[in-house]
Amino acid sequence: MIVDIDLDKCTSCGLCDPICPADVIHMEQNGDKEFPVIQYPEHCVTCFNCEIFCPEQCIDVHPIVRRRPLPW
Amino acid sequence: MLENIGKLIDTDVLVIGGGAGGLWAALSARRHFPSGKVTLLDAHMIGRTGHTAFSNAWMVVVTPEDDLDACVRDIVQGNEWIAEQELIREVLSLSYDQMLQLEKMGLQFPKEEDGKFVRRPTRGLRITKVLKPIGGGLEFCWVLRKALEREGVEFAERVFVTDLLRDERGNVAGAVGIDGRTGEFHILRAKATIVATNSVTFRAGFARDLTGTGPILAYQAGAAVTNAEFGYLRPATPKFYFEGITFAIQDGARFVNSAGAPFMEKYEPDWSDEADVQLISKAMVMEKKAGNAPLYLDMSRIPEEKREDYLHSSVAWMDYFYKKLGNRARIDMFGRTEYFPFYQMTKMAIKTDSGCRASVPGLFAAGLAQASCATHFAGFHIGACNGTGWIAGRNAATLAQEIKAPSLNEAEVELLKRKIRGGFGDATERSEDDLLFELQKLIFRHDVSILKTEGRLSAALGVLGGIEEKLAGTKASNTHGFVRLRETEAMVIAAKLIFAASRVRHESRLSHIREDYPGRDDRNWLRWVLIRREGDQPQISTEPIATPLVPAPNGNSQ
Ligand SMILES: Cc1cc2nc3c(=O)[nH]c(=O)nc-3n(C[C@H](O)[C@H](O)[C@H](O)COP(=O)(O)OP(=O)(O)OC[C@H]3O[C@@H](n4cnc5c(N)ncnc54)[C@H](O)[C@@H]3O)c2cc1C
Ligand code: SF4
Ligand code: SF4
Repeated sequence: MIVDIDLDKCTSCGLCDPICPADVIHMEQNGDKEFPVIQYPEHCVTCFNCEIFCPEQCIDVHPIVRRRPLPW
Repeated sequence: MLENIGKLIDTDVLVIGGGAGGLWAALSARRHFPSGKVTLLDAHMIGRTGHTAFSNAWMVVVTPEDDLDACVRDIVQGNEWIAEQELIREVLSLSYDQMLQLEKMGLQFPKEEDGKFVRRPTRGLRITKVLKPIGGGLEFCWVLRKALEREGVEFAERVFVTDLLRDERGNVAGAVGIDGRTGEFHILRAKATIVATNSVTFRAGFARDLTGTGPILAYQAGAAVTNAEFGYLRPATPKFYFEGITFAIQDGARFVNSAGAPFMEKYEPDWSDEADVQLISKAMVMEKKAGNAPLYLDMSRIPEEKREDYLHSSVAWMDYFYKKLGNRARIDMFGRTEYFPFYQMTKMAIKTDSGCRASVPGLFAAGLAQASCATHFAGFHIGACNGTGWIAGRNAATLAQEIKAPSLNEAEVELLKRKIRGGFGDATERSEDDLLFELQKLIFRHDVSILKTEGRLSAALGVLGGIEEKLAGTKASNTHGFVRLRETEAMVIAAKLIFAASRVRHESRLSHIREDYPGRDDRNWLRWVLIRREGDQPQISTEPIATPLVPAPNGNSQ
């Protein structure tokens, strides 16, 4: 699951928002710029797209996923 | 005026869903109708979403040196005859050329020293071989996206389709949906519509949390769906994602029971641990019934010198994942890990003819939203997507060249828009996620979705009725929630069709295992179980499966 976006390194390029297949990250106005916000962490599918494609390597995804019911 | 109701996009061919099926469908429609307009729509960013993007993209390819008819037999037999034979033959016959096209677009496939493609056998198939591109699904999708851009296919991204449109003659004539962020209402009017959304998952983890609503959209629009009684079963651990069971077993891993004893050979003497994932899942259920759970995948026998290979992948996300698994989560996959047989998704898909035409005119299906067969092994998911995409695109292009622009009833479009508005409201007592959890608790039970009986299926339908009722009163407070709500609704309808179809098939075949009808019955059940909507209820019928190429077993030819 996505855990962190390092806004100090972020250049507001905006890519992590549309590249997320689960609509987790939203660019939001913050002062005179837009910055990414982790809006729905609980819906992250741990696909690593945001971490892989962020040009500034700002994003950290943890490999463990949220709980779901066990099959038996 | 439609323009006053929402954002109107007119197109000749509309493709819904930008995974392997949709990407190929759009390319094929473009090539077969160069002067026409082709629009590829997806709820997210084309090339970076769908199951395809996160897959290894192993694909079945039949090269000129292979025996095409023998491969058709292999897949039909592996499917225990639940297969659209002529369609599968055409899919396989297109596969080599499609791979060469991908190579020309810049996708690389590993080669041997003598220049031949590196290929390997796949679980559950005897002769058909698979290969995979460097970079897996992400690269595969990206080169296709770039090709579509070069060839002038239009994209509609971040549009979530809520309903298919019918014209005044009742034919499918496009779709409506909303912008996934702003909520703006979209009307896509099309002469031919291809559904390539994949089928429904119940959010089974990682990329399989992503789901496709297309077969349900088609069902709602009056088209027949089939194969609801079959599922994609696979052994999985909730601890981490692992794609490499096949290699692990070749390197010495095996499934063991609570006493540490291997059990696969007992159930699958021919294949043992190398059986297809469906058969392993079935054996796991039997072993649990015999009182020998918990069950484990024991990877401790994999030699030290081979372990490093498991921590790397040419698929970017898997590479990140495996590296972090040890570093961050401190999980050692080379021990004994508890595994469960898991219901990854339904095989329910749109029933078509061998030209990918659905039972309602104007509608086509491609990819896993199309019912070419009931099990796809490792490599025939993408294999089938490639071919059905090409065929659906070609035939949709032909239709679009023959007919005039459809005329839509504005009042009906307005109604669909109002239906969307009705899904929004103040936060309700239960969220769509609470209901999803209730649904998962039902569908992931092995004695509901894997080992079935009449009694348990009808009890499950009862529980589902309760979830359905609660869902009807659930509202979303924003667009994100609305899309999830609609996806959950599709899952609930899918579950209903799965249970209903499972009750009808009185035999056990492939992933459909009836405890009360344990044998395979070729005399009575070489049939499709078809579901159509009548009013608000599913109507079930059956139809013989045509066997023009691979004769049915025991002389039960149709
Ligand atoms: C991790 C993983 C590994 C796999 N490895 C392999 C492999 O190596 N070989 C193999 O053959 N198979 C593999 N599979 C299976 C295979 O990836 C899929 O079966 C196949 O990619 C399905 O392709 P598709 O085009 O039908 O659907 P998808 O690729 O899922 O694309 C469907 C698209 O439709 C969109 N969509 C859905 N509903 C709507 C809607 N209502 N409105 C708008 N858009 C919508 C989605 O956003 C999505 O982009 C793997 C799957 C996973 C998850
Ligand atoms: S992709 Fe990276 S740099 Fe771009 S907005 Fe997101 S976090 Fe910032
Ligand atoms: S890991 Fe994938 S799903 Fe999760 S936030 Fe990043 S892009 Fe979105």
